Amino acid sequence: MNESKKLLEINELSISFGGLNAVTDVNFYINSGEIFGLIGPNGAGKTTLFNMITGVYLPTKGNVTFDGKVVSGKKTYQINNIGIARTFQNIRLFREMSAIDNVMLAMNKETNYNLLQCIFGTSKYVSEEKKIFDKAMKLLDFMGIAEFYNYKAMNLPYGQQRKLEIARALASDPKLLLLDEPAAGMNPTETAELADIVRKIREKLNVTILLIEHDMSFVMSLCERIVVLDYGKLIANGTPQEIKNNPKVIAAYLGGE
Amino acid sequence: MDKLRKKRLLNNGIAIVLVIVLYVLLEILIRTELLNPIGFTSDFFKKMFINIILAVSLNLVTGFLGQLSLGHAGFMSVGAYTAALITIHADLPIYIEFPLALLAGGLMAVVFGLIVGIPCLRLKGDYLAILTLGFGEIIKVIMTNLKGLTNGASGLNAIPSYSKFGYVYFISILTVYIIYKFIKSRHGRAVISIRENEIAAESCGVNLTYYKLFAFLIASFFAGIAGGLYAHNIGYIAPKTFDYNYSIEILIMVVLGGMGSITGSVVAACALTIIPQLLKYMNLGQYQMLLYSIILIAIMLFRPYGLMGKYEFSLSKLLNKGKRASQGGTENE
Ligand SMILES: Nc1ncnc2c1ncn2[C@@H]1O[C@H](COP(=O)(O)OP(=O)(O)OP(=O)(O)O)[C@@H](O)[C@H]1O
Ligand SMILES: [Mg+2]
Repeated sequence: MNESKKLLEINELSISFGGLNAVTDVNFYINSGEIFGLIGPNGAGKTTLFNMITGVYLPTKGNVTFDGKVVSGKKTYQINNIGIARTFQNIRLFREMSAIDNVMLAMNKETNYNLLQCIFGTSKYVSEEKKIFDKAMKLLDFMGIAEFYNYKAMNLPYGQQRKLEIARALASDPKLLLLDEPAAGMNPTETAELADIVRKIREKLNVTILLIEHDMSFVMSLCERIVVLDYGKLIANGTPQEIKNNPKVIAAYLGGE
Repeated sequence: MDKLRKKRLLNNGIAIVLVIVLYVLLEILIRTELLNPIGFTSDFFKKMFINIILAVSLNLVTGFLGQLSLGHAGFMSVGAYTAALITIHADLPIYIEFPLALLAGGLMAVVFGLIVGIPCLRLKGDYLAILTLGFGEIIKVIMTNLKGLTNGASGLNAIPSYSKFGYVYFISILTVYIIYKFIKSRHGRAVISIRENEIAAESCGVNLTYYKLFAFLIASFFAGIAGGLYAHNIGYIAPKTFDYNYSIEILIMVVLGGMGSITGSVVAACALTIIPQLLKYMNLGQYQMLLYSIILIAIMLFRPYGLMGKYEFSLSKLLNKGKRASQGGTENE
């Protein structure tokens, strides 16, 4: 067990858009195997932080290290290839593609056949496609949406779309999974089910999880540690108990209402 | 698994037989000159299958990748000139010379595809439309001014008429097959995912520049091949043969048939070769543009996603009508 190994480190991370400092000098780290929460009022800079971790935005200052290596400056697809996958606050599925194709797409890098092999339909092509088809099917099953494998993503009900996005993120075998408001729009039953799924992802698939969520009872019951952002600044870092009783956090939320 | 394999072999077999039967039928029509009175000559059928190559390859970029390209005829031009210059100047047996010339035409189009594609496909946004539009015009200027090589504005004539119907037909079928296979492969998934959502695609590990370029170069290659076939069918090419209007005509085929449907492109390419010919036969040639506009407006009103939408014809599904197709990922053309 290397429970206390630092998997992700955020160092002095800052970004500004024009005059707006969306994230300012944020520092924290996540250990391997943690379920880690990132909370804060609307517009605090949480999604922006995800975008910097995944290379969508380039930080104006500071950097992100993953597994001991600096990832800031790498391209988004390279960051996915080294083991960070994510979901999006506003669902971004490949709407016209089937559920299973959404997942199989994310396995592109481990699929081993070239253009000629697929044109001639060689056995290598057939077996590789079957390999990832089966693996994708397992993931859909893991998320409890296997029966929808052939549906176009856009035709799935909202809750299933959120699950499909998680399945797709898991398809690239990440070490770290970033979830941006996974419970948004879900009812309490679905939220409870989601919490179980998140725990299962950590237990069964050995994935470390960093999640953004506004649903406080969800975050407090699920996460071992939590950081709080307000106006782009980190105002608290601690266990759920510590966060709950932190006067700054209370002020930020009351002030933000 | 073995059963599936047998089924696949059977479907492939049926597909091959159908392709050959269609070839024989068309060849008979052409040889007997049965439809010549209405203008369905061998030239006409060749034009139709060349248009299929052009529409299907453009669909790869515009329909599947989701990038607008307005210079497909420019790549055709590069392929046509390259192939024609080789067959005019080289002195090899035709069965070596012609395939070689076509291949060289396709590859030269790829070289130009790289020149156009690299600068703009690395960026996000619709730069491709502007650059390909410019490219089509620039190629015209280049071909006009390289007088020593291309004979300038008066063009190349006396190109040997190597494009027998059989050549055009089978190359066209092969093109459709290859692009279909590409789309159904992991590469195709990557290309379509870029159309669907660039940010999500990249977050799933898709190298955007690589796959955009990949799709664009395949399309350029087949446009070049189509150019070579065209030149050796008509026997005469000039810079203005491959102008903006031709690019737009191909684009109309893609939009009409359905962006992202290979079947649609094939159907639309046939329809838009047949309709002008029939109009000509009925002496209504001058109304062609009017009719095109009406068709396009009707399509926009009643079938905004094109005739076929994203539907794909599938022989195996047709054969299994009633039974449910049990497996994804292994279907047939
Ligand atoms: N690309 C951008 N250009 C300009 N401003 C941006 C950009 N992205 C984010 N911002 C701004 O940065 C701030 C933080 O936005 P962000 O989306 O990170 O908030 P958030 O914490 O995720 O909020 P929410 O809980 O509403 O999702 C906001 O003021 C937002 O308007
Ligand atoms: Mg957000």
